[in-house]
Amino acid sequence: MRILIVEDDAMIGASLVRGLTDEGHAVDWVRNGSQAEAALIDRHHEFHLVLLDLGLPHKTGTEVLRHLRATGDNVLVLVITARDGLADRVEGLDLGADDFLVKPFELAELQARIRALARRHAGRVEPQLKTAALCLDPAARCVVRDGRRIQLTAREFALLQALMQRPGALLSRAQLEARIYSWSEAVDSNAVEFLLHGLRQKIGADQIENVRGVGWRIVTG
Amino acid sequence: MTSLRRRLLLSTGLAIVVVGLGCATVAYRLVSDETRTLLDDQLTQIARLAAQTVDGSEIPGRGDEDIVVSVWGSDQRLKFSTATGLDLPLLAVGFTEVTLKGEPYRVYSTLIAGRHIAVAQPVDIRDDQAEAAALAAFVPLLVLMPVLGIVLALVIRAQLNPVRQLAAQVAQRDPFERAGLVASGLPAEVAPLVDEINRLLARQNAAAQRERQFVADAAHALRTPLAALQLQADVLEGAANPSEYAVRFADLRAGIRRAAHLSDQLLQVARSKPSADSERLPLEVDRVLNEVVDLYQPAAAAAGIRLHLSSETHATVRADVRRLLLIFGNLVDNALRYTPAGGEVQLRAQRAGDTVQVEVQDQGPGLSESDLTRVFEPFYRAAGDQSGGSGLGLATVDNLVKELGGHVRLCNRDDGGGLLACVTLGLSVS
Repeated sequence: MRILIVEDDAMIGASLVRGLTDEGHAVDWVRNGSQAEAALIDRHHEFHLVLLDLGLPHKTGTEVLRHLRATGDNVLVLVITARDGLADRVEGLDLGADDFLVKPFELAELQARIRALARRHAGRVEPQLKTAALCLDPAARCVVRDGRRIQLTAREFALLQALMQRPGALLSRAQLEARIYSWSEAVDSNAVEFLLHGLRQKIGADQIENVRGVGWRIVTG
Repeated sequence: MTSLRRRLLLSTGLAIVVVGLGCATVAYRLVSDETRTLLDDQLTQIARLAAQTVDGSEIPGRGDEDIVVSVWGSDQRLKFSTATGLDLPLLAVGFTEVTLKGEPYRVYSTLIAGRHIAVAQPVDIRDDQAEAAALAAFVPLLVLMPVLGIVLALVIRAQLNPVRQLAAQVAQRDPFERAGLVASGLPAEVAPLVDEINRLLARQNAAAQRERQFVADAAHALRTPLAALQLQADVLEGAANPSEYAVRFADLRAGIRRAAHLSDQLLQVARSKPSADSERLPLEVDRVLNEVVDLYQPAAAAAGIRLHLSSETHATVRADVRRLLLIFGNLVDNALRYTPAGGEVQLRAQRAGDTVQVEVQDQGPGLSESDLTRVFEPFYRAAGDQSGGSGLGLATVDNLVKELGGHVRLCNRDDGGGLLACVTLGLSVS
């Protein structure tokens, strides 16, 4: 999942980047409201989720959120804040936040909420992503094929998750890149192909279909 | 403690008794004297009547034992007497007291148309009449005294009622009640006291409000470092290799240092509130500044910053050393936080009139005009501040300097080279 972190505290920001990257997310981090808006406008629709701190310099998180929703961007927004007043929560949710987490929180809770948001966003009820042959559990971070557990790297997992998020939908190389790499990472032009190659070897080449010149999709049936 | 009501009752009661008894005594005397004068007048009138009668038959009260009339002719022979067996002696003209048959009489003697007339009345009867009249004047006053006392007691009680209600109002007060005491209906003498109490309550409320706000702010300020610690600890597990683990562990330690620093700062603020325990002694500013430089030299060296004291003033201020160390320590700590590696933090002291000015200069980015006015507020941090500070250091400095009767000022250096903090303290008079 591609996540934008908007957090002004250096220590919290750095740890969030680490924790979410460890989970296989592609994470970018900006430290103030203006940068957040710039990132969300420049890279429109690249992000699946924004972790938004409300107490930001230059432009508060509330303003960023209001502007975001006013422009019709429906990216998932999870507000993280030190303000725990009911009024703050209500205001945040009314402004269009998808969830609300009060500092301090545990990384595990944040990850669970991110998974739940992604699930709801995709219109699914059950936590696992499934095709006829594969079952991917985002919480347990495991993939099972025909009852056999398959070991994947974090990056391969993220790639498979991106493909399985919407089974049958074609994703281009650029789209896949955007989902699994943050912009701070230097990405080789054939990095996605390389990853796909490794992934196909592990889960079975027949599970991922390549439509030449367009992209890839997961085989559903 | 004495009750105002009891004191008023006692003093007015005493006044009533003294004045009342005085009045009664005077009235008794006056009425009794008056009565005697009246009785004397009565004797002279009877004498005048007796002069016009031949045998005393027309004399009023004749045969009455109380009044005895004797008339003598010019030949000094007794012409008649109303009393038998009681011989009035011939006396000099005027009033005389004589004893006849063992009983005292008051006798009026006069000479009218050659006749000698004497009218006598027993002193006992006169005394009885005088006393009866005097008592008639005296008793009502005695009866009025307790009545007056009761009325006064009721009046005093009624007048002090608002004060009693005020006491009840204070007794029922919630310690956190914001509203002042209601002063309506209070006498003008008590109202100023209530006004002053209300002003005190307002000040106390404001102070309590500030304390509550501070505690709320402190709890809030703890959230960020705690959130960082939680996440820093959480990501330790995810480290892929020992070197990655070491990096993450170092970050966790930095997070702990930051939380510890915040708790130190909170304690400092709590201690910088005015208290009675500070003992002010004459202190040499140079020595204190040298001590501050020594204290922060290791931190400065670790950050690659040159920290030095560039002047001597031989100035002395009255303060306690702990507070001075906190003031200048906080300013140096701030300066070190914002000065980049390779930079310089300079302390300088100089006399100005009867004050000494201590300056701490850094080579940081300085502050915007709006931040300059707000950085002394507790927990305020400049926009985008990445120093990891608590936002309490300058608030502490401000509290402490004010307590010492000085003031602290922040400004951007004219040469654009960073921030200048200037503390002005009064010199100690030796």
